[in-house]
Amino acid sequence: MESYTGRQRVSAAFKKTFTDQDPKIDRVPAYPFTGQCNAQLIGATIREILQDPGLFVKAQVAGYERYKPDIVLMQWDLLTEVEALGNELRFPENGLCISTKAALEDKGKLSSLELADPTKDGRMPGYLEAIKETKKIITDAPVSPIVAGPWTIAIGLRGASELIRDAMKDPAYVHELLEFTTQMSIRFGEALLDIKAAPNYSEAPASCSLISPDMYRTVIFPHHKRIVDHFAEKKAGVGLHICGYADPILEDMVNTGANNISIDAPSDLAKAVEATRGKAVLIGNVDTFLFLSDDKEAMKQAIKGCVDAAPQDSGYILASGCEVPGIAPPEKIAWFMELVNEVGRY
Amino acid sequence: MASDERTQEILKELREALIRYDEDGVVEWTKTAIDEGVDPFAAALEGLADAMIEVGELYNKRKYFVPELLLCSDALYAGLEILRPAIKASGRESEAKGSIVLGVVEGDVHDIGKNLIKMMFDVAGWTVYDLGKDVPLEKFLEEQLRTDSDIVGLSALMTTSMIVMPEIIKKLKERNPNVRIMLGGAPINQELVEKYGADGFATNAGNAVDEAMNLLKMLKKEETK
Repeated sequence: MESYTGRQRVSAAFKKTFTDQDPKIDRVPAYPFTGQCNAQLIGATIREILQDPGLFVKAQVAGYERYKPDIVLMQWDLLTEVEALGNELRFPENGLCISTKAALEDKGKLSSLELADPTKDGRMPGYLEAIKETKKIITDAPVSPIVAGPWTIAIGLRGASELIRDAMKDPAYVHELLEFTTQMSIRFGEALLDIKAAPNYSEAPASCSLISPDMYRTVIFPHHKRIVDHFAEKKAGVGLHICGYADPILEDMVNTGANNISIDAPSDLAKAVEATRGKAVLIGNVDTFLFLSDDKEAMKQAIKGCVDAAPQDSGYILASGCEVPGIAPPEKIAWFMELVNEVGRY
Repeated sequence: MASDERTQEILKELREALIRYDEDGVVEWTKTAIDEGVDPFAAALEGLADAMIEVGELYNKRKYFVPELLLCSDALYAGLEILRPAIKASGRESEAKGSIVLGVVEGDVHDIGKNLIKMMFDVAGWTVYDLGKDVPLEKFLEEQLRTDSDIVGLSALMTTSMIVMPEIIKKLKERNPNVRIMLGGAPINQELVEKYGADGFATNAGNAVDEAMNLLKMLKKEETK
């Protein structure tokens, strides 16, 4: 049987979506979102890989070698931008970093906040360096960055409850804040594009698990569209990932013009296939809990369910719905690609 | 003393203000209730608490989402703050239905879910001891012992932080075998509840109180055996 590289499989998904071509490949392109869970492969802590770009590269390369995903998603943390903008963070030894002080606890400080420079401020240059290095080492599969979208940055700067209340009671302020964070997302995205890595934006807290569809449409969508349009002018496609339940806003996500849409397990893959077909590559949405469970059969059924919901010509990439838990045992993460090879064949 | 008809009108206005998350309206109608001699208990139960049941239904039907719940919560507490002194002055404070220690576990700062759960327990007449977010293990133990609460509710959004739960549960049960533990948060499911040795979990704010009541009933039955 002919063997394909991750790059060929992923490229096929894009061609199926955006052209009349239907390139033959052996199986559905697939990858688990692995970041923090790769620390254990190199005997490092999560804190170490988030603070040392060299170790982050080592962990991601180890993840690629161990699991052989078709895309290497460079999942770091989503507080890199807010840290560079003035948030104080704490880095637990084996957990994701958390904000201990938000830069806009006092909302009035927005007027004095300055955009961070991705090539100089905080850990942003380290992330760029890690992308560059990983791209040099891994050439068979796309090395894909993922950074915070404008709503995620705004939540980091203000706090989730505070920002949601602001959006309901002081929309003009939130608009101003999102103008600022959109510029920040574009700036980081441009720095990534400079090293030939088109950005994907994670908007974990933009789902209907946290906000209303109406809030997505009126408050966030125009900013997403602006980012996509900005990069379209430069002939670069960007991705959009939203965690949690996103069924009511699937069409809106597609209408941003993002060239790939990534959804989480609570969203309906069949509905998403309908919404994205011919307009965006769809990515998702195996439940990340399955990477912790002992039930290999359940993971197999979940993968089968995804492949059944997304027809071969739909330009679909099978992935975990969100980041694989940092505590997931490597042998269970390995099941994922093993099972994809078994039940994801075309 | 308001007539029955006027009382019903005030309670209706109070409910409607809360359902449309109109904090100023809730404050205004709560004050009206007190000024016109409406029983503060009725204002709390038939006004605010009944309205919250409806808010919970709107959430379950996906007509309301978390933003609306947050503003309803603000309006609810604005009303309760006015009613509490009046309830106390009436000398008719009812016995709490139960007591619960709540907190988001160490390493996790995502507290919206926990705050919504707290609101549902408050409105259902429970005594709530809220430890906040990023709470060290020892704090849960100390607070449960200090308050002798029936239930401890542990919340986590991140999988890396939920792994401290089994240790907290083990220590809580060692010190007090009768305490019941509830878990909450997006990554929690029945399999984890069993694996971690907890007693129950809530999938959302709406069913948390029902689940707690079930645990409490089970506990009472065991005690009377």
